[in-house]
Amino acid sequence: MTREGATSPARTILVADDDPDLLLLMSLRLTNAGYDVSVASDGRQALDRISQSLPQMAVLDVMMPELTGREVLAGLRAAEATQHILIILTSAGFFGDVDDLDLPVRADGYVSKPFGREELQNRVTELFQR
Amino acid sequence: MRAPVHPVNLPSAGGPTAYGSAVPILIVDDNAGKRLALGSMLVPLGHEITEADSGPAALRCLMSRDFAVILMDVRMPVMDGFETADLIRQRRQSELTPIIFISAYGSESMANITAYAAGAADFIFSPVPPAELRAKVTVFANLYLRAERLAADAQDLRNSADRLTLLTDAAPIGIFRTDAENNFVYTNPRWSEITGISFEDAVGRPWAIVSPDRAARFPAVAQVGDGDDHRLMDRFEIFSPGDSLVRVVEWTAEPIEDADGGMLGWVGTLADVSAGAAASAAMEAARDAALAASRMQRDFAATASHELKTPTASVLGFVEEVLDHDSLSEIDRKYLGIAYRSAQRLSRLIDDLLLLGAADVVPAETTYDPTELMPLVRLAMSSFSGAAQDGNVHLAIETGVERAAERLWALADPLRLEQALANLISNALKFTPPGGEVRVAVRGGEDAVQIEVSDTGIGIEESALDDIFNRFYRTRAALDAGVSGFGLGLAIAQRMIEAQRGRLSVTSVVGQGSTFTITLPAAPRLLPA
Repeated sequence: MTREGATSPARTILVADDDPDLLLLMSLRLTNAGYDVSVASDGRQALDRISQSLPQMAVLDVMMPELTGREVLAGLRAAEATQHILIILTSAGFFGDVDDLDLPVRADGYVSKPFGREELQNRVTELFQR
Repeated sequence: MRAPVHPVNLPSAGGPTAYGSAVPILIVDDNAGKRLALGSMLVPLGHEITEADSGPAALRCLMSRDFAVILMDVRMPVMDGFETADLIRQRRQSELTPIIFISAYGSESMANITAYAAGAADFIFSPVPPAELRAKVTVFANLYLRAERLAADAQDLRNSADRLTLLTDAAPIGIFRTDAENNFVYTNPRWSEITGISFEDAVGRPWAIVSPDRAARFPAVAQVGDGDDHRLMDRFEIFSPGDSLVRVVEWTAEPIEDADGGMLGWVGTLADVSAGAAASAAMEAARDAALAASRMQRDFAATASHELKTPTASVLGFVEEVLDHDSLSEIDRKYLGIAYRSAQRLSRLIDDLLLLGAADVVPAETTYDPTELMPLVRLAMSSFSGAAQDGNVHLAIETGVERAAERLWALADPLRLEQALANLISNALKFTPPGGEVRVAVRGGEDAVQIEVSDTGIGIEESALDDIFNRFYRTRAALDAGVSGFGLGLAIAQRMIEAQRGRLSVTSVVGQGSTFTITLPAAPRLLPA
């Protein structure tokens, strides 16, 4: 596991999930990995907070109330200020749902739930190293 | 042919002569000698001669038959030639029969003869010159023959028209004809059945009586330009007064043109296609229902997936976090480890059950894309390289066939094919002891392609081969060997392959290994070779 945050300033990530337990788990792990983590518990909140604080990355659950992860993704890509933010979609969805390659607006990475201990951190590290 | 005998009062031999066909000729004269003389002059022509000795006798003859020409003596007692001719003209049947008057030159009736003859016939002065008589008779005989032929042709036409009408009357398809103004001139009985309009009501009336709103689609002859494709075809509905759909009707029409390309009207057909239309509507409804059901199942599966996987992710994640703590006692670590492995097992079972559900849902939605096989096979294999190494099993693409296989494409759903293949490879690795080998081979022909997964594992007893694709089935050998699993992998693989119109088959020898073969329809190559 890379501890990016060891040298400041820490990278900023917003994590959005409507399941509070998973939101806690993900923010715990990413915080432990040294990132500066903020959270949102639905899609509308996520879009508002991202637009306001402009984090470097957003980890969005696909199935959220108010706005789905895909809608938040589309909203971010549509605005100039937010279109370069790295996006990871997470999903506890059905087979084939997570990496739907046919969609016009695509995320930078996908992680399906449940994910192993290092899976999310590894994907985040990969994207920051690109 | 018999030589013509004396013709008087007898039909001659008849039939064609050197001059043509025999025609009936009437000679009218009160003097038997003159009749004989005239008849004799005509013998070489071979015609059929009838004699009458007076005007009334001539009229009697004309009642029963037609003559090509009448030779009429002008001067006869009781009723002279002109009177007789007047009466002949008054009868419709004989009004056009040509009459040659025979009269003495210089007689007082000469003026009458010329006046009369100018209108209708001809005249000859007696004594009659034989050559002139024969020439005149021949002219009229030929006219008569030509008229007869025309009449016969006309009759033929009438007969064939009658036969055609019989055909169109009996035809199981509606047939109609319109004139240049788009008014009906003919409709057959089936047309009336379909439209509910009798021939009597249709004739002389326009197309709009059948389908008011489509009348515009049926262009008037004047509107059709040259060089257009004049053939028309359309469909419309005929409604009952209550406005419920009665019939779906398909009609075709083609213009009738005269010799100069001018338009005379339309001829066309009308077919009742209600049954077909109803059937396709029913098929559409059934397909929509199937898709809706499939979508509902899919939505259910998506929700179930979300509801099952989210808590599983929590359990696994937080147990992992606690297991990470250095302060854990040995016994806590052991128990938490058991909980973690059980949760992992549960998670895999959920995945498999969802996949199995997906395999049942997908057929209606499965896409069949031309799929390049080798990249897909390499991708599926790449995720097992770690597992193969851990188990000390050699995992390889069969050499020798790889080169040809590079060009193979299948008609498949790539995501589901990869899933099925992954299940087969995972299975092969599980049942192959250390030091063994799992080989994947891709072969193909014109119509079908095969992906084979062979292992050097424990093999499957023949008695179990029929059961291994059943859900939750596990072989005795697998249970005895302690190989983990739910007995779902092969069931999923088979359903996924069958959803793609493919086949999954197996051969096995106990103690030597098994070969699973996926067969799929080949796709035409899309890339240049």
